[in-house]
Amino acid sequence: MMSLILATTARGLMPLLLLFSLHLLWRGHHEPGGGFIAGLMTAAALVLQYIAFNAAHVRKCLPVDYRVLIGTGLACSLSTGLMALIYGSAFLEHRFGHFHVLGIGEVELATALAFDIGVYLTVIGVTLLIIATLGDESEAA
Amino acid sequence: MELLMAIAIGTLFGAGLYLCLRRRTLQVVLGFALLGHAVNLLILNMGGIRHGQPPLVNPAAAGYADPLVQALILTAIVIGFGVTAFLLVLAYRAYQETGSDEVNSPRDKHP
Amino acid sequence: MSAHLPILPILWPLATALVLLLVLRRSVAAQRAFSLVSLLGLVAIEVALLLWLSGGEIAVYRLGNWEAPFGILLMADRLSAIMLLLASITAVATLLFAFGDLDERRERMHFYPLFQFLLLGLNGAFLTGDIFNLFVWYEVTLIATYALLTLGSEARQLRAGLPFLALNLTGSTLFLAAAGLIYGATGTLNMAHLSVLTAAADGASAVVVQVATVLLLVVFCFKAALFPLYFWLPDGYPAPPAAISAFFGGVATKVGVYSMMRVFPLVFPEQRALVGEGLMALGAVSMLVGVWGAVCQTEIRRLLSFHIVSQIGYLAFALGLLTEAGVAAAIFYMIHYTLVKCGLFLVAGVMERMTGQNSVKKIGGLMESAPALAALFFVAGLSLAGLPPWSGFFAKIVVVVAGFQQERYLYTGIAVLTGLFTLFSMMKIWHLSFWGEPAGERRPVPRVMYGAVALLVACSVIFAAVFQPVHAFARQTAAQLLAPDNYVRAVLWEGR
Repeated sequence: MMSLILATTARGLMPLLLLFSLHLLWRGHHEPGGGFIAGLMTAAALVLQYIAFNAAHVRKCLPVDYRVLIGTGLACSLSTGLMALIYGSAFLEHRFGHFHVLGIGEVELATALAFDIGVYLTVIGVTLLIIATLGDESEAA
Repeated sequence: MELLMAIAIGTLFGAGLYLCLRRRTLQVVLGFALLGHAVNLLILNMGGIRHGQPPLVNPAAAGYADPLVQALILTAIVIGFGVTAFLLVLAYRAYQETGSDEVNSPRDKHP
Repeated sequence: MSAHLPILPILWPLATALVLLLVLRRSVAAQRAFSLVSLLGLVAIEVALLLWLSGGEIAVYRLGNWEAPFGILLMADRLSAIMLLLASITAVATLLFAFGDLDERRERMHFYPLFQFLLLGLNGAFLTGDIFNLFVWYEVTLIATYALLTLGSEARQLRAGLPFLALNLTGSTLFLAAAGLIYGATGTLNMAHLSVLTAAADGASAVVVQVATVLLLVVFCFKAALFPLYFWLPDGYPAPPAAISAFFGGVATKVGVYSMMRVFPLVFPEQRALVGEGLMALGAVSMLVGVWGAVCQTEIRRLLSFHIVSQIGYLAFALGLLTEAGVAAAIFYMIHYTLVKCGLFLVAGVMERMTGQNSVKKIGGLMESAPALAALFFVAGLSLAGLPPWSGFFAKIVVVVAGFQQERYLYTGIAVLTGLFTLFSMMKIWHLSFWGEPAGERRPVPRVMYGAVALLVACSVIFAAVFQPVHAFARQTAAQLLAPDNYVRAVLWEGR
């Protein structure tokens, strides 16, 4: 039972939701936002596709194993923490610096962002895995 | 404001506890969700309520709300989210497997 | 590198789990080998940590270099080192057993990564230095526990899983509420900082602190399965395969006991009398209720699960004395009992595997067909009952002596009586299953499963042989635990 209105809205909202989630991810270091919220937002965008279309459509949007996504996210966050050990400081100690990017100008980059990207991926993976397990019998484990 | 929050927390605890003691699994799951909210509000109250102030130190603002309680609640919400999801999956699988959505379905046949 | 030693027991299982999940997910054989090698590495790390901390040093690790009490920190002392090593040794035996016991379907369902996540949660709980993170590590442990409990999704597991999950969730909710109250009353969650502030609390704050103490007592009773909050355990623990329930039975409930040892003397130094009396009374009732429950059971692993309740009673009683001898007895008892209980669960697993039955009444004559198993059960069973010269004898003696020193004759008498009932229940298994007419089938059992049991039984025998130095070490540990000033100094003043 595919609803034309819902399908059209979902298609239109998808890029907006994704852009907004990336915006949340980026501003999370200094302002309200961050990896968790951004991950939920992206997952919500995909769940909307799931409601409007079907599971196969979501798989096409994000053609990776959700468990691998969780693992990659965790690995990303973990290695951010481990980087600090290489520099001889404590686990999870953060660094930041200002970089000049052509065309954008001065940009502040912090290792916290890499950590947040890991959280972002993990949250997407976990949420979608749960939804898939509840909704689609073949994913159940 | 404190009184209002206290009443809200009490109501949530009461409703959550009532639902937790029901027989059907979905009600129990919802009960735990309500209990989680009650505790989160409790923690928020414990940090002191500051109206309209950001949880960040901002020279432009008049003051700041306690950021630690917000961090604690965020962590608690994340954990609650995961556990509730797991509970839902488990309840659903148990329903599929046993055909009953009661928490205490009949025991196994073997001793 | 030694500066980073306290965090390694947390990072190591996490990294292992990720490698298992991402790189080695296709091959079960590779997962097995890598899990085992990684676990042996973890044991080596923890031995190094134990050697470092055995001198009495309190290692403090500040995550992200945030200064205490503002940042998250890890705190390792003798007790943490003992618990870490104990958990890993049990994990090695469990893992070996799982190689033989688990079917390939379960192994493919991410048993090995989940097991590492469970270790991650446990190690985190043993190392953390603040109350809120203790809650977080509890949750990591519990989520891994839930997943392992229902691994394979048999009807029985799913049915046991729901009440288990619901009751533990109640415990977590109360824990969170207690953490909130403590923060409201004192403005900190760092254990060492709290030690200073709860003692100084007055007026309304003092009442809140007292309420939080009682709430935490309830929470830890939940986690440790102490009377009257034990009922989730005997239904939950026997449901999964033997390897998993053995690890739960040996280690998982100990997190509750560890938290009691850590939190009450350090965080609430003023509430010792209240907590002590409560723990002793609950412990005494647990001993009796648990052992009576066990005497009535015929399903082996259910019977052993009831014994957990009664053994936790011993720990709570000894800990509730809150004297150096009492806490030392609790630590000493815990080492013995973790090894023996896990060993007995594994013996039960071998019996079930061999005969295809899980009730003592339907198994018989194992003495003749499996003499090696009989010998292992003989040692472990008599040790649990507290007969000389096995490890349980020494463990019970130190508990009883500590009880008499404080002139707690009633509770100590109950402890002795419980030992008698325990002996009776072990004799029941022995008489019905090992002696008598052969009953049940005889299927081949992989050698590696025997090896796992033998490893634990050997550890318990060695423990009995060197009980004097171990007990001396337990006393030093107890003395360290009962002197909160050292922690306050290490966390708040040193390394600034």
